[in-house]
Amino acid sequence: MSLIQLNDVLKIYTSKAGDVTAVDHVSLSIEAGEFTAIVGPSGCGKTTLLNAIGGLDRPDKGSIRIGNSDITGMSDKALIDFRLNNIGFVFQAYNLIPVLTAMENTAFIMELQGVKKTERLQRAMDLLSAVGIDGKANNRPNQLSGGQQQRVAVARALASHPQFILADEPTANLDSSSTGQLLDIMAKLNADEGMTFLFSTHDQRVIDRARRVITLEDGKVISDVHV
Amino acid sequence: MSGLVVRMAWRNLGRNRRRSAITGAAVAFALFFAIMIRSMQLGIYSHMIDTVVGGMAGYVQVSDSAYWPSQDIDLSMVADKDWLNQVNAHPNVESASPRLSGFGLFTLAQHSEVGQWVGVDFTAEGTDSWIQRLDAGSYDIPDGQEVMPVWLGRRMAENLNSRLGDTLIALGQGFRGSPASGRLILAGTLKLGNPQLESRVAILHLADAQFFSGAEGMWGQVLITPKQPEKSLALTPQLANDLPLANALWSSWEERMPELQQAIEADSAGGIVMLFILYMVIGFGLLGTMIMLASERQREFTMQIALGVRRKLLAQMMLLEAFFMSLLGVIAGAVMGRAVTFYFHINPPQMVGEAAEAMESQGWDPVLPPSMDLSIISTHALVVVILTMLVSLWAVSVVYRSPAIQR
Ligand SMILES: Nc1ncnc2c1ncn2[C@@H]1O[C@H](COP(=O)(O)OP(=O)(O)OP(=O)(O)O)[C@@H](O)[C@H]1O
Ligand SMILES: [Mg+2]
Repeated sequence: MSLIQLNDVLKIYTSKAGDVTAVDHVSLSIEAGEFTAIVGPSGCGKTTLLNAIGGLDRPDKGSIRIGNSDITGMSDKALIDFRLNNIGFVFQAYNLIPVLTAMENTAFIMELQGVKKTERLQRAMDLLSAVGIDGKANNRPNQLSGGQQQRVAVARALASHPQFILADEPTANLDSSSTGQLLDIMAKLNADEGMTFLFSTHDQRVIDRARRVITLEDGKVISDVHV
Repeated sequence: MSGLVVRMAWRNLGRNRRRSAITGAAVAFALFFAIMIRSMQLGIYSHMIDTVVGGMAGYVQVSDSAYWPSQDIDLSMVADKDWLNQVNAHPNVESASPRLSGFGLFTLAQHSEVGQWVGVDFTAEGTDSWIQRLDAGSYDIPDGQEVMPVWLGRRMAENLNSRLGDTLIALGQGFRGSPASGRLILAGTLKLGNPQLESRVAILHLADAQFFSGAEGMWGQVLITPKQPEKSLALTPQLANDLPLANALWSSWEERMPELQQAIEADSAGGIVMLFILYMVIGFGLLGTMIMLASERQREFTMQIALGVRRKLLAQMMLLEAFFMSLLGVIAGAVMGRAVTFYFHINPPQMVGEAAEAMESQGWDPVLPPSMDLSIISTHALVVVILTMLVSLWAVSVVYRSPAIQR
């Protein structure tokens, strides 16, 4: 059984200017251990699709299954708890809680999950060294560069032992060397620990690192290539 | 979990220190102002009631049903010591003591003054309170002597141009046609906190007064101080019921002096209206701050909800942050308010000019001692905390309206 299964997912935005079909009857499945990029021109529906998979937004039609759970029918509250325990998120920007240090941000989700203090501090420290910023564990986000902040976000996403990590344009605000570092870390986690990554991007250098590339156009999957 | 909430709420306070400080200061100012207004108001009221009522008229009075308003000595009642013992033993009664009084002319050399003599049982009324009232002289003069000791209100003593040890002649109407006349030796002068009383009252031992007026075995009235003087009005009928006495009239000071009671209520209502306006102004100021704060946090709420933070937790965080902010303000305001009221407690502001004259003519000393009742602080601290919490419901509603995705 695949890790993520989308069945005929449809998302239409209605506005005064007219209806926009952002995700147009998409069906696809993602296996555990994949390192997959969703690509396509601006406005093709990447964010809309990832939001639906991440349980942040509801499709108008179709169903989404993650592991054994059909998230399409879940209540808002149930979805919050589902996200906490099953999905790691890395957003384009504004990932971290400003009043918490890198260490505390990393431990944050574990604390919500009720992981014991010694255990979560140990794991947070391990993860921060895995993403290469254990030296800045006690810095607050405003004392970190954009690339360092994204690496903390990856560490935090991993901390909760999610089924997969969802990242909407995680490198969009980064320069090329930070982009390279972040991708190295993600690829290493994927290779060493088998963590599944699903991310969207515009950036050709990022696309080049993906092992599967799903291309959208006008909300439809127009190509799906395993590298 | 709750540790996380507390930590984040506390740190959020430090994010915009200036705003937190200004908000705390607004709360502190509101509380300080409220404490000052209410402490001065309530202090003045109890000063008025103490001096006008507590000292001389009694919170609750028992007299013959026809005694008021003439206070005619002929309408005195027969002393009933068994009943008085019952009154003193009543759980709601602090003390009860009989008095006998009448009117007379007091003469020393060329000076004469009309006054009211009042026979007092010092022991029953509590010697301490009488010692406090002593301006000059002493009480260490045994009664039952041929020349009776008298303690005059200090203004009356001045008006008579008398000195301690002088012998006055008193002449008045006694009980049922007997004359009230005798020689009185000036044993002391009294400050009664009430200029009118000070210029007309002459205090005698109760036994001397009874002898001097031919009213042996009679009481003019019995003054009762309840354990909770502020509840006199409600307590009076209850005491009358518990401690029946034939042909007696029970009255609380509010009934005997309705003007004083009404003046206090009207003035107090004015103060409360002022405070209400103050709280409204502060409340809207806090609301403005809260709206700004919540909209600044909007992205953060959304990000956290996306990560899997329950809205309830975010709401708790915001409420706690507002609570901390108001708590800092409350502590500062309470400390300032207490310090200033304490200062005025030690150095009561003295009124001058017209206001002072107006107060004197109403019958009390022109000083403004603040109330030191801590419940004023706790009540208004609670009001400002509740106000802040109500205002912070705005942030809670923003949390609950926050989506999981940035739009
Ligand atoms: N809230 C919304 N209301 C109306 N239309 C929307 C909304 N969000 C997205 N859209 C439209 O849906 C389509 C898909 O948008 P989406 O954000 O998913 O694209 P994207 O591929 O992520 O683009 P980008 O690369 O610029 O991030 C676009 O045409 C967009 O204008
Ligand atoms: Mg997008």
